[in-house]
Amino acid sequence: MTALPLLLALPFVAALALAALPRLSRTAAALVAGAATLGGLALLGGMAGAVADGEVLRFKLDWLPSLGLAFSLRVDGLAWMFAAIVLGIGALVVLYARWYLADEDPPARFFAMLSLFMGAMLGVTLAGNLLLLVVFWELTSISSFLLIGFWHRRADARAGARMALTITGMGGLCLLAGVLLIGRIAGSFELDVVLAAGEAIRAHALYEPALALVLLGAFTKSAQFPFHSWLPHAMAAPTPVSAYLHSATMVKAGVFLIARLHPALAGSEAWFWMVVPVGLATLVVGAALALVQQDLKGLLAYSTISHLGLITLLFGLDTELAVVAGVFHILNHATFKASLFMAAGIIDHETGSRDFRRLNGLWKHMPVTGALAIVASLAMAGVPLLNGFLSKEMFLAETLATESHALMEFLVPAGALVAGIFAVAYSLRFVHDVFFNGEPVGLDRVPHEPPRFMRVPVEVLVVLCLVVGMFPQHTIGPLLALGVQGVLQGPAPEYKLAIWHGFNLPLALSAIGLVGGVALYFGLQRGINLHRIERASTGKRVFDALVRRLVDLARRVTRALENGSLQRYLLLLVLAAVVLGGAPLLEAGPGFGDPPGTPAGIAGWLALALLVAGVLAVLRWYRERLLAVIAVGVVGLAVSLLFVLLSAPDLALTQLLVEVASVLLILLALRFLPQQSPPERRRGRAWLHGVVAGAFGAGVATAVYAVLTRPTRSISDYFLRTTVPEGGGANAVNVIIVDYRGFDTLGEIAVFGIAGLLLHALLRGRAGVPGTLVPPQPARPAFLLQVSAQVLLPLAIAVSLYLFLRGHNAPGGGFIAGLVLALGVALQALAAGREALGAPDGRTWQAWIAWGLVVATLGGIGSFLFGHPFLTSSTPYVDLPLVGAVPFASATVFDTGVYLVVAGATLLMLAMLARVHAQAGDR
Amino acid sequence: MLTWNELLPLVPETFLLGATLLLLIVDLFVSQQRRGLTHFLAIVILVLTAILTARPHPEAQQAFGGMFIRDGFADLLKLGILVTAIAVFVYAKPYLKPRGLFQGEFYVLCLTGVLGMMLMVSAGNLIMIYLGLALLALSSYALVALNRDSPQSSESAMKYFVLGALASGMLLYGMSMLYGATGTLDLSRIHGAAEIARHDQRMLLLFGLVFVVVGLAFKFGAAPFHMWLPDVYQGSPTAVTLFIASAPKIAAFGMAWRLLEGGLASLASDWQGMLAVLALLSLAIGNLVAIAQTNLKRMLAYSTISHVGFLLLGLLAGTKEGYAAAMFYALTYAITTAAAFGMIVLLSRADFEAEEIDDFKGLNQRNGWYAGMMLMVMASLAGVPIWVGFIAKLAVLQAAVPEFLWLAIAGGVFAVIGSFYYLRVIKVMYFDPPASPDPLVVPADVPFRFVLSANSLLLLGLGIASGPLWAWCLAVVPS
Amino acid sequence: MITLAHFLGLGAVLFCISVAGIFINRKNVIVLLMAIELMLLAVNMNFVAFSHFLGDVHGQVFVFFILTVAAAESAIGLAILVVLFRNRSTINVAELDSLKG
Repeated sequence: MTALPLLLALPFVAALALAALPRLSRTAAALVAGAATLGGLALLGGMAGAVADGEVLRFKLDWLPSLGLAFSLRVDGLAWMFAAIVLGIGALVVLYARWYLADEDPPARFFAMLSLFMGAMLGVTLAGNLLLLVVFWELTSISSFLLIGFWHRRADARAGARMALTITGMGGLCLLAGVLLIGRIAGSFELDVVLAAGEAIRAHALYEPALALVLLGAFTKSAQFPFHSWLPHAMAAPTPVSAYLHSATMVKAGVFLIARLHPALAGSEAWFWMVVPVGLATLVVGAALALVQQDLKGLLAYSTISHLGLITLLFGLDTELAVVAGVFHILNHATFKASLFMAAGIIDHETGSRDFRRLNGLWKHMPVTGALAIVASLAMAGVPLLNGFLSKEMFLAETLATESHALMEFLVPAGALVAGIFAVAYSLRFVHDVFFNGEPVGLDRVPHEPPRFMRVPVEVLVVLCLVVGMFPQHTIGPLLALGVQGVLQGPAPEYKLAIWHGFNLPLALSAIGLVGGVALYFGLQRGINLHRIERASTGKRVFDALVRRLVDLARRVTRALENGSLQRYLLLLVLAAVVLGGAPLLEAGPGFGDPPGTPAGIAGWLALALLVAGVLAVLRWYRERLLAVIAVGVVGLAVSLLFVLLSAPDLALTQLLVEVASVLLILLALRFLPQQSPPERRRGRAWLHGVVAGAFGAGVATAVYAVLTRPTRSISDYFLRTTVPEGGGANAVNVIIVDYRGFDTLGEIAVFGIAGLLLHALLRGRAGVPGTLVPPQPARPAFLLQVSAQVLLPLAIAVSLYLFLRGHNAPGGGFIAGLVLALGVALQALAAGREALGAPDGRTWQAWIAWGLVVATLGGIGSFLFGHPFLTSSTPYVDLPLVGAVPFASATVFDTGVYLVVAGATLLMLAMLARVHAQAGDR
Repeated sequence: MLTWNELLPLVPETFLLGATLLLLIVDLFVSQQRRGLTHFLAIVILVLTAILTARPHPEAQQAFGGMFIRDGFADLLKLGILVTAIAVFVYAKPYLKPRGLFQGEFYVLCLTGVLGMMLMVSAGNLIMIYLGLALLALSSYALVALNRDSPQSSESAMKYFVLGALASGMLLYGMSMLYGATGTLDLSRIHGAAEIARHDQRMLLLFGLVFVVVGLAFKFGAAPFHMWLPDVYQGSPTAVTLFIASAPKIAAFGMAWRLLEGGLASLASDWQGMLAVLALLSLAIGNLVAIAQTNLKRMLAYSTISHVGFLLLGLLAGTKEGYAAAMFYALTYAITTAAAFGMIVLLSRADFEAEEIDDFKGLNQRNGWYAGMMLMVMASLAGVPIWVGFIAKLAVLQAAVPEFLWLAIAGGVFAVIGSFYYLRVIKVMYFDPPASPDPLVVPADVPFRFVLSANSLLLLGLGIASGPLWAWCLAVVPS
Repeated sequence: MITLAHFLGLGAVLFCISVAGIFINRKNVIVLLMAIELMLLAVNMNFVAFSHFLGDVHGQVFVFFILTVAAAESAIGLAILVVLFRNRSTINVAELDSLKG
């Protein structure tokens, strides 16, 4: 079945072609769009036979099978009928638009968008996969946005387009959520499966949410109360668009969806109570509001809303005959409403106005258009011998047959009657106010009949209204039967398409409606004069207010969260962590055990005292930077003491050296930064911060305490047992670092080396605006420092070498040795000037880092070349004087790399800071 | 004992490290006029690393006793990271050049960051995660401050640094709790220990988990740990924003998956709850606040936050499909966002940053193709069908429904609110008159324009032909 | 009797003071850097204590890492601070608010 994808592709191809040829003339562009439409109609006609025989035509292409998304198309009666509407009315609209568009409107763009929309709409009708349907559904929203906003220089067009897209787009997402649920329940998104799974879906616990979500999608699209207000504002669109989208296609997509999923979703209490009240309210509200519009298209828009409510109501009533009436009314409404929109467009086109207060007495100027519009209006009012009458009769009969709660049994027919009266009244107003009722007021040109071909589409549609109205059985009968079979997924019920059903209650209601409507219109016109009613749209007001609120809220949230203050960010971060962490803590409660009995001893007490003192000192003097730095150093010292206590001596040493190096760095930086920070103000805020910090601390402390008081569990001490035999060393941690954790160490020094390079990248080059730096005090280094530094440097080199060589069996190794060397050089620099730190651009140290990393990597990999595993060190010890036995392993090569990187990076950092310092001093 | 075979998995990373160092040394001897060589070599390095990473039949391998894991999951994420980084390099050049930032350090720092990310997604051990994270974070801090003369840059670098250090401190604290509770740093062993944890140990694990989630959320930029993101995106040179905004999201996902699924799967019900809160807040705050933005970089920052919300939606589903969806999301988002910032570079000139939304006014009249490219990017970000952004959202939502139905619906609602601001960009491009009458000047860099065009078309192409990538994601997530 | 547990409680307090220091302080970025360093010290204490307590050496290895990274981090922090001061002539935390919204 290749005709099916071709049918769908045609409008898209036309859209692409038109987009690619933006300079086409109006006629040429219309021809391209029209050819695609007519071609589609021909293809559709070719399928008619098979579909009429009850066949379902399918086409399937896998897209994302595991997500259930497939490019599958499916044509049954309903799809065929809708596709026929889309293409049929589409062809007429293309013809109409050819004459409607003004010279300054870019025709290719218009027809491209129109074709795009047509393709999307066809996609909705032909989709055989619910997800694919959603895709096309969203595409109709987007392309309709473009069409409504076609005259984008007009503010009302932009606003209307945005409102339409927001409401229908939101509905589309609800639909998507609903479809996802249905897919989950039915196990597939394929329409065939879903339609057959009605029983399972209705019995599922998620049926109600799924139904509600799908209906939200349908209601927003079909402008059902209270989501109807986008439709009147979409009237800012060019009239061909309204004639197409807002009568026959886009707004019908909602009711199409309701019809499409009828077998899967309908047939439950929930269905009735969700659909019928909405349909009824829409029917009445739309009809009432239509009467008080001053805009020609506004009246038609509200009337469309009302008719869509009628169709929705019919599907909600959920009897087979109601379905027949619903499908029938879809067809009839499309015919008469499209012709009315086109007539309104002609009037607008030829007079320059759509205002009831200015348009009067046009009958004299455009009798043919007038006659056509009058016939179509009468069809809209439901006058006998016209198509609107037939479906309205069926509708009234169905409302009278409602079987439900007593209240609904009264409300539904009563609402139908009221809406019928209003419908007659507004139809009458359309005819009377425009074509009669005095003379035109203040038109800037003399109205006349439109170009010949602009009227043709209206004529075709009006003739259809008449023919269907008089000979339903022979004209619309087969098409209706097709549609009904498609909706019900089975044989159509017994029904009779006839003008005359005898005297019965529906006929009486119709008569009351006619008489009441005429009375209502003339009564109102005489009593309060409909022209005086100035009515701003509530929906628009609500929508605008909502948007304004939203933007306001956005601004307020922004100001509250992102005020640029780092303090605020930090507070929020910690607060959020407290809240996140508090929940499990409160829920589970801490699990304390007995405290384990590890006595701290005198050293412990000492470390503890140091720690407390350091922390208190930090708290006390945190504004005086020098003291604060020293206090932090004290805390670091205490922590390294604790490390010793916890039997991690080499960690303690590393900690100590890193601490010294960082303090040195900070001190260097401090020399040209402001001396003291200004005092704090706003103590009140500090309390809040204190409370947050306290909560945070309490949580963390509880958790740690709980870990430590837990019953002991011995974890494998694999590493401790295996180090000596395998690595040839006794210092567990160091051997682990070199042999087992060679890779880690590589990463570690990579971080360290890169940090040095980063510092270099940030501080080198042009000195920015160094005038702002505080010049350092020209302090002469103390004599004692100079002397001691001269002694210390060689000593540092010696110690560092010793540490390096001994590293394998005693705390040390490349890392610590590198730090010691760097500190020695730094001290020398403090005493003798920065020349000791090498070239000012730090090239030397950069090279150290790079070569160190290369050596370390090669040292690791090197052992492979000799067939040994990574970093194996099985070579015997070499005896060196003074130092003692030194292991000579590939690990030593690796350690050399570590040594180079650590020393190089530390010195690079120091050199760069010293350089900034020197620049500041030079000014 | 380590052998050749055990080191084989590390070949791409080792190559990248070695090549980066060589590049550093080479760059020292390259004159400013021939800096293009560094640019070229950096891209070659990434391409070669990608070639080394790609394997026809990715079976899982380990190195260093499980510290480092190379499996199909890691491979795919790494390829995503590398490809994105290549695009970043191509887009960055025309931005860096006229601003005196076209230096070797940009490339070296980015490559280091890439190395960090590759380690993050391959980590089998807390140490490895921290190592990768530190490499990435440190180079990012420095990159943000790369423009040494810009007050904005240095302010954002300072904020990024302080907040980042706090977050990584919290992550470390969490890791220490996990270590205390299980006695191991190995993720697979943490997994095993967590499964048999008693009540009291569970509390500790939970506590550790909270801090780990905080660290992850910060890295992702999920609300309420997102505060750094807008300021850093706006304050950094656009070339750096490009880097920070794209590939690290992939790495963050990889890290999150390793930690949460690999290590703490038995606490799933707990972290699902936390992630649900984060996802909801991210969706709400990201989309809401983006509406109020006039600066495109800031707007994209908030859009990132909202996308992270979606990504978390997939992650928190905790199923194979959910992880695959989140993975798909992360990969495609990185590519999309690279194109978005690439567009800013395209319209910027030496003395002009096209970072205000108003700078895109009337772009369609000035150049229809560029407007079309931006349209593609915005459509994909907004999740318009058939762009890849839609497929990604669809996959995530499918994974979240029905267990997290209301969260998914909230996501949908906020996505609509969010479409407002993407729409605004499209609106100003197509409906507004150009702000200046001058003809549009774009960089003459041909590879740049070519790759950017291909990138924006790819967003549509990947949407239509999303099957292979999706299948790949599904295949590499173990069930 | 004072035990290991109490030390670690203290470590937690240290952590908290540093966190508090980070956001209570409104005026001086240097204090932020120091607070971060204190925080990492606390983390290190945790790891070493756990490592000792569990008889597992991996924790210590991790601490080596953290030490290195901490040193690198504070170096970079300082560099950024210097660049910031050059550009803005202030290291007052409260004045770091030109980026917002």
